[in-house]
Amino acid sequence: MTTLDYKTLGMKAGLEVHQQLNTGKLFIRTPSELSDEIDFTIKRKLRPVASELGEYDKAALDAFNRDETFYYQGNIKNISLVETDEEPPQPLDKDAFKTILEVSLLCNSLPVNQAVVMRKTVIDGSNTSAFQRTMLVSLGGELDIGNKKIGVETIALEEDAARPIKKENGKVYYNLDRLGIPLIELATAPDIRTPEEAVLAAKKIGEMMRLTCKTKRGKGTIRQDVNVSIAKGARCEIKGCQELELIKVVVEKEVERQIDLLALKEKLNKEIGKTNLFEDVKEVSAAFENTGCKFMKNKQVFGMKLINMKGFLGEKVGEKRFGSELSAYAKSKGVSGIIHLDELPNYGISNIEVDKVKRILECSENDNFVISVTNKEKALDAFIAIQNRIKAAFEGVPTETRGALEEGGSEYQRPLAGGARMYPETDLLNEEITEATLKEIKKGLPKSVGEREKAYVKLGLNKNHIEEMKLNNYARFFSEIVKNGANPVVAATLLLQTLTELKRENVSVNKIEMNDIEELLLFEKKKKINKNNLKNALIDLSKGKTIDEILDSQVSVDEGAIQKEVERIVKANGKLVKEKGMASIGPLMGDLMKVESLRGADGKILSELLRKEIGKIK
Amino acid sequence: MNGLIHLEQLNKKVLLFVICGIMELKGFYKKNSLKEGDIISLEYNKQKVKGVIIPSNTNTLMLKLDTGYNAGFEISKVENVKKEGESKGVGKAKTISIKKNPSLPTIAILHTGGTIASRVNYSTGGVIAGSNVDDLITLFPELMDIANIESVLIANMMSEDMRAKDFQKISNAVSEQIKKGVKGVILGHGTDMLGYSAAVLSFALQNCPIPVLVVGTQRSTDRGSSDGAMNLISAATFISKTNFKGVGVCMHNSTNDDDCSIINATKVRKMHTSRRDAFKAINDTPVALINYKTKEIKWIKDQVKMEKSTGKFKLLNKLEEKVGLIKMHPWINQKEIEFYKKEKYKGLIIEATGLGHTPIREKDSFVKKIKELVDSDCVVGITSQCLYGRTNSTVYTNLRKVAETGAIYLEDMLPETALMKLSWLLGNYSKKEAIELLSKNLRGEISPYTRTDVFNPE
Repeated sequence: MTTLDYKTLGMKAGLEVHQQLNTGKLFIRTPSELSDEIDFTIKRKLRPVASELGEYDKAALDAFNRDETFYYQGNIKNISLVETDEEPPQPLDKDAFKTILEVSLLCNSLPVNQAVVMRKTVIDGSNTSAFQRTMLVSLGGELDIGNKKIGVETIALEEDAARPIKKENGKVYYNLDRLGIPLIELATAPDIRTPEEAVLAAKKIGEMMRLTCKTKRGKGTIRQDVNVSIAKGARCEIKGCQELELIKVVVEKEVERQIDLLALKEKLNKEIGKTNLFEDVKEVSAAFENTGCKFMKNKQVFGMKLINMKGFLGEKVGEKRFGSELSAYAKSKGVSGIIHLDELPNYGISNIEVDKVKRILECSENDNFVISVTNKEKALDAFIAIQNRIKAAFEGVPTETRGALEEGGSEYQRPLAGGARMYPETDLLNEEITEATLKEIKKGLPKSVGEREKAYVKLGLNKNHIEEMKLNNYARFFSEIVKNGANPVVAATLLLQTLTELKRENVSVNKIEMNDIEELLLFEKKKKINKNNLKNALIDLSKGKTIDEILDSQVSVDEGAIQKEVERIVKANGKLVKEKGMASIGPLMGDLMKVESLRGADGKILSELLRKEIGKIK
Repeated sequence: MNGLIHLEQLNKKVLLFVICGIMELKGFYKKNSLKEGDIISLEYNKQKVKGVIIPSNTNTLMLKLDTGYNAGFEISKVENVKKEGESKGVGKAKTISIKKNPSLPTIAILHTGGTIASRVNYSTGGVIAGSNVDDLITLFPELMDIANIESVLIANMMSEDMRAKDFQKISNAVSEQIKKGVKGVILGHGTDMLGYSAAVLSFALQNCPIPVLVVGTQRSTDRGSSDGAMNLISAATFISKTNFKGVGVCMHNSTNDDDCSIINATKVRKMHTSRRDAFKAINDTPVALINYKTKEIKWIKDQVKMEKSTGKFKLLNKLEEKVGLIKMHPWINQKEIEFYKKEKYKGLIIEATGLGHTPIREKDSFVKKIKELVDSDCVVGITSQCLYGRTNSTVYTNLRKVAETGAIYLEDMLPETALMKLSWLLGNYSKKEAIELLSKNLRGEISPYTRTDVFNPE
């Protein structure tokens, strides 16, 4: 791709980042965990609600007319009556609310005085209630991305939707586990001027949210939408980039697409002009009676003549052809796709069949056509959508919502939504944000990455630990316990290495309370437990043992007793020791650890005495 | 006394604070010549926002922003306030034109103030309740294929606040429709008192010749997931397809949007605070199930019996309000029983424990109080707080002691049904007749034998 001059192009972009929080669910007290274990499935229908003028949202009505049935799945450990829309919401999760206030203050956004929980109408089934709860928390602010500042417009707190599983024949399946997980939605001003700045801004936002130590990690926990426009182009929203680096490509490709659409506009107006462009939709099935095209055989096929448009559907638009743009509009009306003259012969459709279609549609030399395998009702809908898209091409770039594709391209999804359809959540109280609350939060605001790095160096952490800890969810817990007296190196090792090891060994680490970990580390500092025994202690904690029980089992074994056992084991394994010498230390150490009376003994002393004893034999 | 003064002072302080707050907001409106409903723009933390001023009960400026959000702003923090215009009032809602179809039956839908037909006002965030037939048909056009609909607003009443006159208003309105000759009546009702109301209606409509179905919604109708539409459409389907006679409740059979059940009005009870399928048949099976998708009716009770003609219809709808309901528990005080005597209650339903026990206490003192109450001209009925199963007055000695007071054991009747039945009996019959009829099955409130298949507290 040639490098474009974004300044001359008048490129403007803004980001909308959605980050899941690792707190409790926003209005439900069930565990905020995903699980594919399914105990129950419930079946629901949704219907659109009329507005004050008795009107329905078009998207909502479309969904209702598709007569879809929604199947919600979950398990009894994770899902309550709130998720199934059988109970009013529970009070706001304080932890999530505190976190969004921290994020707001971190980027100088100013919280409102009364945050009001709203119901945003959603009827695609992704919310059992047919609305998503969301609240605007703060306005304004800025992000420093090094060479410039990017404005922040709004920061909102909302509930994530149910997790889509599959869709088949009017049955739409969702897992309820994700429903209600808090999301921070941060929208920037359209201050981004290059694709690189978009990546920097996204990185900055991600980093800032991670400073709170309350974000979820892993695939799907952060989703970015990008709004892009160029001068004379139009704002298009590309939804659902899951990777940072992809944002750059998404912006580049969208700019290229808009440039191509502007060129197409010139060409269309110059060569065709706004004359009569279309003729009525006709059935063209007769052309394919003996077709070699598998998906056309014995099917109803409909077609529409596009007057004077031969060649135009093959025009390059971004990475694809103008025909693909039309196809996406047609698909949004429920047809599986369209075929146009500019790409034929192809798909097993012969020239003879092309001529037959032309004859039925009465196409002359300069005319184009589109055909689609579908029923008449859907064909009419789809072809009207195509007509509208072609008309829009004479004007330039239509403003629309597009879905990001894996390699950075995008595809049309729906028209850009206007002001969302919201009304207050009457089941909940407004959340007042007082000066006192803000003062309190300001006092405890998380340290920046730079500050953290400096502090870690002072504490003597190694490079790897510093790198890993600075944006880790344990970072604030770590400073807290170190302040309370824990040994920094021991604590960092336990948090960053031991816990990960245990997770890998399938120990239920999530059953260990953070309070217990703190206590354990403080006892380590007081030498009530040896650091080499911390891993075993964590295993015991995960099995439900108390700190007192664990400490009681840390018998201080005197060296005499150890020496006795060492001598016994070395003697019993005389042959092995003679053969292998110092190399026998490994297996013998293993045997020593198994001795009941030595449980809790310092591993270092064990190995030292063992080494000495083996040395003697030699 | 000291405490009182302190409270008073505190109240004054609070009042003063509130007044100051509102004054400040009012002053802000005045200064900027603004009022509720105005569209304004302003800057908050250098961020431009635009929105409509909506009512605020605190000191904050409440706006419905053009992004859809509501939010409250502290007046001292907003800058560059500018009036941009005035929001238009809500225009008349679009409705679709209704054509009567002579081949379809007529169903009357009566409203008691619940919100079966509501629209959401997205510009202010309010919910608008509609009850005229145009509103109903516009929101539920499926009804047009089922029947010709008449829609009547009886009154605006909060279900939890209903009194005898409200119940009478309802039975009068239903009776009027019966006399008009409609195919059936659907009564929209708040769910808290729905069971009580259905039971009263069942007794008031003697020889009810048509289906009268009470319908409610557990999830508000302003949301796309409301159960209201399915309950209403299923009720209309049942009426149009059957010749059921009597009063029933039509609500969700399970948490799924697949079947609604018709339950006998005297055997129905709200068993859950919030679920769609909160209404269950107790000591009884549902009458029938209606499939929402296929519109098929599946009879559970004997269809022939349920559709059998009865005698001449008569409205008997007086109610005695001096009837009580009291639950037995370990700390119950016999003074509580004395209260009903002192206040000259005409009737009392005791929600006894187990098979029908009340405490006996030393020297039968508690039972004696019940006896005194019975002798004082108050009709006393005994039901069980177990809800499921039948009371019995002879199994234990202590039960016999309670029965000997003259309190009447009411078999498997629900306590709330017993309350409404006794109230109705005392309103329309002599005390002697009331005593006689209380333990006699009139509307299915007492089943002849206890079924093996109906204990399902789930």
